[in-house]
Amino acid sequence: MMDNIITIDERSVTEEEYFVSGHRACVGCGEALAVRLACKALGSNVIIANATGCMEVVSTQYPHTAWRVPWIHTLFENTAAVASGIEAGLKMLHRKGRRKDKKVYIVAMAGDGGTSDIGIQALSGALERGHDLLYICFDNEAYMNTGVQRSSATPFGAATTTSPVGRESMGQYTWKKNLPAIAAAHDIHYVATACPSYPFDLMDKVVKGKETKGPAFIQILSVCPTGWRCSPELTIQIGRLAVETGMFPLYEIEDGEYKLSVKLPELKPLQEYFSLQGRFRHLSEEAVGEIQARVNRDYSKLMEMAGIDKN
Amino acid sequence: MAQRVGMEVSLAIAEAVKLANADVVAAYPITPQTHIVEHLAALVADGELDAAYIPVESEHSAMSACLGAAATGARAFTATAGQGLELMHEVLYVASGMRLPIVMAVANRALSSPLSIWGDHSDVMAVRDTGWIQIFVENGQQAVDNVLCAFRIAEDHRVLLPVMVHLDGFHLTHVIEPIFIPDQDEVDKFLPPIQYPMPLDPAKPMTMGAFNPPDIYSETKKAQQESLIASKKVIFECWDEFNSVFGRQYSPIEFHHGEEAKVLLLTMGSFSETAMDTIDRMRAEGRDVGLIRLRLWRPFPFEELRQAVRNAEVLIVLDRAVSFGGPGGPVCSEIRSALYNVDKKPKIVGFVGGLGGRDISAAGFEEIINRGIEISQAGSDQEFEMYGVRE
Amino acid sequence: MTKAEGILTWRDIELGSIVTEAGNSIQYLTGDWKSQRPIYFKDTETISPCEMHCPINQNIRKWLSLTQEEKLQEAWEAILEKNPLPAVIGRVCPHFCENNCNRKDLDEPVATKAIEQFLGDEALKRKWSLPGREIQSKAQKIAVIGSGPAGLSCAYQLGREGYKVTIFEEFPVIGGMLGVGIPEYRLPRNILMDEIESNILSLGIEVEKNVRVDNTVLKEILPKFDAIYIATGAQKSVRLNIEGEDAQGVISGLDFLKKINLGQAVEIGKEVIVVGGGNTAIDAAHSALNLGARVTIFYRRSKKEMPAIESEVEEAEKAGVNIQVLTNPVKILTQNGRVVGVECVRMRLGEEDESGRARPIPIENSNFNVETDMLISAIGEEIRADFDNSIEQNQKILIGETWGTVAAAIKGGGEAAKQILSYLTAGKRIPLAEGEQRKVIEFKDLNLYYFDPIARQSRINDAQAAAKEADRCFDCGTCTVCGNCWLFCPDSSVIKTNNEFQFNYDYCKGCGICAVECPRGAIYIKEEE
Repeated sequence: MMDNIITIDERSVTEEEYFVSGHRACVGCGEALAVRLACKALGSNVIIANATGCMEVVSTQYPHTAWRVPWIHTLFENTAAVASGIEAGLKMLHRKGRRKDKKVYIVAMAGDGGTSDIGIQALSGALERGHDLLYICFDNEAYMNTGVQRSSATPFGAATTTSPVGRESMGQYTWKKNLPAIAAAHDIHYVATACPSYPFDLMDKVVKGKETKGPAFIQILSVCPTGWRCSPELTIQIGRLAVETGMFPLYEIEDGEYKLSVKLPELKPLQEYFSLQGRFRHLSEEAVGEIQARVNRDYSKLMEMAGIDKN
Repeated sequence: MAQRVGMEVSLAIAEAVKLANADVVAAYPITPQTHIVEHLAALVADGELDAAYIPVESEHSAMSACLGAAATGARAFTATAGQGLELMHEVLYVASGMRLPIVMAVANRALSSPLSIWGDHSDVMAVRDTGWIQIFVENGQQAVDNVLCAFRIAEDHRVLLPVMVHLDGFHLTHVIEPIFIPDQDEVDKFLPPIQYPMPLDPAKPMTMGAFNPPDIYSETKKAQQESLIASKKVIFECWDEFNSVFGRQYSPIEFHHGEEAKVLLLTMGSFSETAMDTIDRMRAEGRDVGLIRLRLWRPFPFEELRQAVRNAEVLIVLDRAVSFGGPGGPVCSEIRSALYNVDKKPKIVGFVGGLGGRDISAAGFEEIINRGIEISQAGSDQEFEMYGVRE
Repeated sequence: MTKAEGILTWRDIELGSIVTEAGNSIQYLTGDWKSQRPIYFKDTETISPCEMHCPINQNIRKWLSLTQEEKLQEAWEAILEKNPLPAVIGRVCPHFCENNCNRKDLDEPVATKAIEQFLGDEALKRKWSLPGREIQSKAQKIAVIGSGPAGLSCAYQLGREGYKVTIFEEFPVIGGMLGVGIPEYRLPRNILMDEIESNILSLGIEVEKNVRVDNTVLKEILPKFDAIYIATGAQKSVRLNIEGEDAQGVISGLDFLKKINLGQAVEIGKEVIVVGGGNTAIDAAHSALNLGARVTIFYRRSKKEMPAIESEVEEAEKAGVNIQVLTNPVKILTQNGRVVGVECVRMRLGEEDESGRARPIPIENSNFNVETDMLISAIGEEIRADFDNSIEQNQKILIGETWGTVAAAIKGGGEAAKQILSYLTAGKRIPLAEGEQRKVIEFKDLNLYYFDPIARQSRINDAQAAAKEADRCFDCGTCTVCGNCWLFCPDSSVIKTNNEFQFNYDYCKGCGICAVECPRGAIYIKEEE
């Protein structure tokens, strides 16, 4: 059955929607767009295990569902474990000849909270055991669904409801946990970061992740106008700035080798990115400078690991 | 013809899982269940059991993996005990709420703190309300038989609920008993292949576990409750069928001279075997005593219980767990509640004993019965008594 | 699954909260959420700066877009809607389109003028014929007085509609300013005549040369025609109004150029001074230089205010013409009735005057004399009063204006044709409609992320070069079905039907991402009522 194709800039994208309209995501939700694009790359031959979080809540309010692929929700921290069980179950059913369908791709989807904090144990276990699945972390940098509370993926200095700005506090006081490095430390074949502002890069990586033998991990930056307090129409623009300023670099780690996805001749100043978001508005020039220094340093390290000369 | 072998009960349970041709085993070790998962690992490693053995990183993930596997239509099994059962607590509700036919053997164990690896029913009582079908066994044979039954019950299209088989930690898991291990072809006759009606399938995409706003949640829960109640009939059918194939009959409530006696003792689990000795001895001395053995814990056999105690004057309930600050023994309080509206009912006396692996001897049971009769006549200023505590 | 009232009972629950109808969330119309909605501009609702500033208001986006696809003949036909002389315009126009092209703020403007020239030339080379013409299908006859760009344009538009048109031209050559006022090096005679013949006269339009229509002739021909358009333009040079202006050796720029273009003998001095800063002055100066003179231009304002085409000024200077700004002649010095010199004053720039440019103010006591043996005055043109006022009352006669550029004259002629059409069909001339307000697409309306700088083609010699250059056009405000809106919608609310996109307002929540990510500003946001 041939999908209808839309051609954009000489790239073909299926017209088929596997995450359809009628979901209740906020106006301008970057995560919903990320899910929509990822699903186009995944196709219909998947089973999705989805954690508690924004996407689950907006897309599966009984008796409605926005999913046109098989989909299961269980709890918050166990997505990787449930996906492991699905993988094992399908493997056995195929092996014992009780299911005749061809290979089905298994995808775990969870937010940053459900991955970096409460879900990290299950993720680590699944990666270590080597299940053939793709884990996608939709990172909107806080527990958005429950009201914008901080997670270990919240960037330094960002204001959230549990890392608020006050007399004694300037917002999140720790640096964002390096999830790709943690995933790569499990010796898996494929790790990547992506952002819907770079839609073809995102879709290519999802395809790569799904086709990888064994576990694969992708972290997708999901701009959240509600939680980041930015204008909904700027979702793509802000995602692009996150990449262009080095706050969220796009790269792949294939069998331990780093590869940058977007060549940036130089990083745009962070202030351009911060100025569009309410969660950073309180930062002093000094604080921005501190963050800039760290971002520059981290990006240089990344370039080094990717074997790119600074000159 | 089935072989009768002397086998450690844990290993026998693993053999039962093998006979059931489980597809996925999620395994996390915890005393005193370890021999079950170890033996299963060996069976898989030797190719005797063709299953995916997932050495998960915690019990929470063990149950989660079983969920995922069962949702694809695979036969999933796990085992746990005590702390492990507690750690997977929230996931148990998901299993029953999602109507997934998972089978779990629970080696009942006391709960920390203080840490205790020995057997009692605290872990069981903490998962009373999770919506699982729960069956207690008293010896190795029953363990093997009911693990096989568990799969059949769980997977029946009229049920589709997960099943726990409870066996006392150490008291059963680590003892060697004479057990008939059924033949594969007998088991195959009894246990059909699993056919989950709505598995995850790209050919028929559907959403499992859509969240329920307040205006529909109650209906979902009522549906779940009704299905648990309706499972009772299927459980009995299964036990009857088991009897016709293997010649061993199970019932929700079983007796040892309990049908007519005026004074009844009620126990669950391995206590029953010792208590049977006590009953025999006391009856030989002319005492009108009997033993009720509660096998089916959930769904609770209300009618069968009322029927069982209709002629008794005293019913002494021995719990192996305590509900702190509450009515004491959970089983006793359920029994009281079950009999509350019955006009002619025995006097009910509750005891808690055997916590954290503490043994009760046959003589001890006699003391309990005597003390129970005393309390039934003279009353007590306590809701319940803890047996055998050094004052 | 649901009962008649849509209320689920516990018996309706399938297993544990399973939804079997995949994707049924489409029953929930999130479109109700929106407080604003995106709308695609219709082609008629936007205007690009090129079109806006083009004196003819050509639909440049359309023909550039066709050129991109190498559909050259179609592109040419699009030009011919409003402009019958692209080969001409592509050579002589001040290219206001390019001056205002949005692309200039990224790298360089699209070479629209060169492309227009190329298309016009291609048409002549390949002898493309005019599309959809009805030659002489209508009975009515129209007379056009003057074969300049306005008259030609009017004749063309009427001829296309099938009317019989006769052009009366006072000179032996046709083209008006095109024929006599613009030098050969700027507009080769053969190209001009070729294009007039192919695109305009081929409609069966008759030309009567050497007929000067004055009052008398007008009265004669009036009964023979159903309508008359007077397109004589600005034939008269504006006088300097200084002493010595009528001496020998003093000539107006127009007359000087006319003589050259008509092939007449023209005297040329050794030290020529040209007064003025417009195209006529530059053309005259450059022509004088080509005839061997040393030429200096005196202009009373500064270079910035010169109305002539910048590239023409540059070329003239490169060729050797001197330009002395802030200089104004006050008296022509003569000897024996012949010019020998000119007295000038220096000027300074003051506040803006009515023309919007800085007012030139003479500096007191700054007079100085310059020797010269020929003075060409080219400070402007005005209408020659050939007719008396009575013609203004006659509905049958439409009097044309004067225009500063050939392009504006072409527009003027086209509009005259519309008025005459309405007179012929409805009996009276309907004033031309204002036209709806269209949104001007500015640079800030575009999303520059989607455009990389590309060097402008230095020559447009062939179809590939034309297409490549036309590809640099942003297509301001025009949807090119690039797919960004569809790709970036979080709610899958953009649908493709046939070859265009549409918004599905049932689900669109009005986030506005589509409008921001549209590279061309083809989407606007409107608040819900």
